[in-house]
Amino acid sequence: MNDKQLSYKALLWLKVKKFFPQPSVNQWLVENFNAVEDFLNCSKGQLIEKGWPQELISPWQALKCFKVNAKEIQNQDFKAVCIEDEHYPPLLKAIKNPPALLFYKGDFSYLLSKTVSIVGSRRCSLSGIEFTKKIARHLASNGYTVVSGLAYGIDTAAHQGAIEAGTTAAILGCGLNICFPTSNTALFSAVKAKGCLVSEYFWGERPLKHHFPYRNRIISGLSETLIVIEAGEKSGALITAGFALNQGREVLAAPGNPGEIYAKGCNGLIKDGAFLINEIADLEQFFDIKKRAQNNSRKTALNDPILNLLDEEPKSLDQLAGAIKEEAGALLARLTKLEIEQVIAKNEENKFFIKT
Amino acid sequence: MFARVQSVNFLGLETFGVEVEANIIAGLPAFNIVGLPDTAIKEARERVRAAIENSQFDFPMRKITVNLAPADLKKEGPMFDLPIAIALLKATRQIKNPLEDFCFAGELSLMGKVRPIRGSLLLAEKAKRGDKKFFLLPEANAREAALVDGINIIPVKNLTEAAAYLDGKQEIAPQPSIKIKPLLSDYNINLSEVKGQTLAKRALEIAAAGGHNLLMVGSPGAGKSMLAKRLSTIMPPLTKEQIIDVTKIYSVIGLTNNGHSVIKTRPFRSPHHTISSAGLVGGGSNPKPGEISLSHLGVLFLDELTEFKRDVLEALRQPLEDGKVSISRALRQNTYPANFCLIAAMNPCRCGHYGDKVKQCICTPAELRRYRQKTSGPLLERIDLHVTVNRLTKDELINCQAGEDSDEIRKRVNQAFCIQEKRLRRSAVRTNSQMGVAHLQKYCRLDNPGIEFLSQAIDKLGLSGRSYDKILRISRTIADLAGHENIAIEHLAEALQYRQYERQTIKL
Repeated sequence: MNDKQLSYKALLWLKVKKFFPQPSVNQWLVENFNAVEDFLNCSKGQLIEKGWPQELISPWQALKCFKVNAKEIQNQDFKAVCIEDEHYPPLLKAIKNPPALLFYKGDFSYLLSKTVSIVGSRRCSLSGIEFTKKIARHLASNGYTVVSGLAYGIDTAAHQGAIEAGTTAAILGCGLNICFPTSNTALFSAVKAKGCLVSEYFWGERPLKHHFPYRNRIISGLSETLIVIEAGEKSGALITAGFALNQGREVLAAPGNPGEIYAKGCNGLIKDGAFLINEIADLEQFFDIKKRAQNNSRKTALNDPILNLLDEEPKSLDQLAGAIKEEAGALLARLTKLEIEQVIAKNEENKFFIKT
Repeated sequence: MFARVQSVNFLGLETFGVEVEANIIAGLPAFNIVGLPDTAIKEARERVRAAIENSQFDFPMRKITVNLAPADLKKEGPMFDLPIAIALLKATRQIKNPLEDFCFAGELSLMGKVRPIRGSLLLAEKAKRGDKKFFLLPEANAREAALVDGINIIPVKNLTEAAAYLDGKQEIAPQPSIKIKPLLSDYNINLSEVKGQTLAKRALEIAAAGGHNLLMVGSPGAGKSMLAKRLSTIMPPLTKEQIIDVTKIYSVIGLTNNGHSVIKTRPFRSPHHTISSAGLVGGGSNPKPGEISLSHLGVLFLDELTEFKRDVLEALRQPLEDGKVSISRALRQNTYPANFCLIAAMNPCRCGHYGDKVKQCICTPAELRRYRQKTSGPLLERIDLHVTVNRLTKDELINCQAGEDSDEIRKRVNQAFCIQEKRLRRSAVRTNSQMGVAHLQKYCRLDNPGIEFLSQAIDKLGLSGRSYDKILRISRTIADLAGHENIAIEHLAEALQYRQYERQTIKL
């Protein structure tokens, strides 16, 4: 990947975007031009022919002389990728209105390999959170990067689950220097360390209400599959699901109790033909995941009886104490050490499991 | 005609001697008691008169004045009935022998029977310090008072018997003084009865050894109360001094009268969550000891911690820090000891099933956060050990083997106790949990790998820097339990397991 903060083309896109921040211009441009240089270098006649509005001709002329302050960008710690760069995710390129320019922090290459998007309601149940964590963890441990939106509730759980076992990416609805919601600050930096933060918005742009539904197209667009867990009747998660369907992506949904507000949206999706996820086995069937085949060798190499026991399934302290004849204190000390080495972690039921 | 006899009285845990003077002069028949008596003492006039007449003595039909000296201290309680009656009998020469060596306390019934009083242990101690040789007191209180050596405790049944004894007409054998054998197996419960719960049991062991406070978080039916009740079974037995200290407190509020006159085992108090702050820390216009003092040297168990009123829990903070509580009122200030081990229990969430294997939780994250906020703050700061207690499934309940016996655990706890006593003998504190910053620097020094391990752990496991000291204290106790002089990495590693709740809260 390019080590430079911005490629030449990305810089040009940045310039255009600074001048024409309207989403409609972005859409018109990616639909009509393959390269930003064509847009800047074409004649006035060609432009009008393609449907460029008459009143925007003079701003377009002014744009040619406009210079982006390069220093201002260099001082920031983000990078950017434009639609013309070769490491722009092909899946995202294929959607109807791809963002011409994406800013990111962290490792963007995760978004080019296997990805799964997980979204859900901000107002959710704790059991929904647990389930989300479980599947995010499972997918991440099998090499998938979990894409979500860093909102409260299901999104947060998806990121947390994925971080415990692998990588994740968060698509923001504001500039990369702003963490929204603020209570997720710790998660914000964790995602940056264990994956990447992505936004189409400029540095310093506020998290405005209309940004979020609009950025949802990126969440669904970045992966072939979208998993919806707990969506209300009118929720952002359903907007994302709508985008996914228009983009021709697969939608998976977790069912809920009929009559519960969290479940209406998901059950509706299932009624319309979404793949139903009820347990991890469904997930394995859909993604054709081989059960942890590649990981086994590594753990047995560690040759620790605790890890061997945990390899089959998560176990509680009592179960471990029953299997390993050792004093409670010594056993606890060893578990903490493994936790600090980040080999194992504890799940919601206080059971220990192996991280990958 | 004049007579003087000695009695004693107490305010809080402080005692003072009272001289009961009776003067009988010519004049219209009257009976007055002066010297700041409370209502119970003023009413003594009726009881004393009836008791004297019903015991076949003569009640003088003249002007009687009884003075309780010192006259500026408020006195309370009906224990002056007996001394007043004796003083009157002496003044009217119905008792002839001198009474300088005697001290009296007791309530009288109208028939002359001597009824039990509160605080007899304290009173006996004061009487002994006042150089009295004999202390006459109600028969029901004699056993308790016999804890005090060096004074003859004479149990009396009624006024006639007391008068006969004083005149040498009847012998009453002094109550034999009690030899305290610390009772080890006086408990009919045992920690081995709790199945599973390895973490919580180990936490109890540490709590018992180092005097740490413990918070248990778990679903209803997980066994939190069962565990808490068994904490006292693994604590070291009380010493004689401690037994006297505890018994005094129970004596002051009259909890020693019914059957068990001496508190030999560590107290276990479990107040209901509707308790007022006066009930918990003590109070009243003449401040009485509250539940925290009643659990002195024992266990105070607060079940359903989140249901307690906020001000009640806030009132716990200062006693938890100081090991005693001072209650100030306009007229006086009383200080009671309150050196207890706090065991708190709460549900993990509002519905109680978060993290439960058996039943699904129905709370929203916002509800969970609100619930957790109820307990946050300075009180949790003072609780070193936090553990989650999970409900066992049916299979686990059936298949689990019985755990370690309380006696076995107590042996280790005893050993750790001795180590602490030796280490802290020159300081004001007795247990690891009370160690201040200076002690931590002196006794909890870590080697370089240890420091590195701990700082790494705090980063990786999401602990706050504030828990650093607590982890040190817990590790010190764990090392003592293992008989190690220095804190090793294993001890630190284990201590980290007892900060789970904090880790969980940060994650949410």
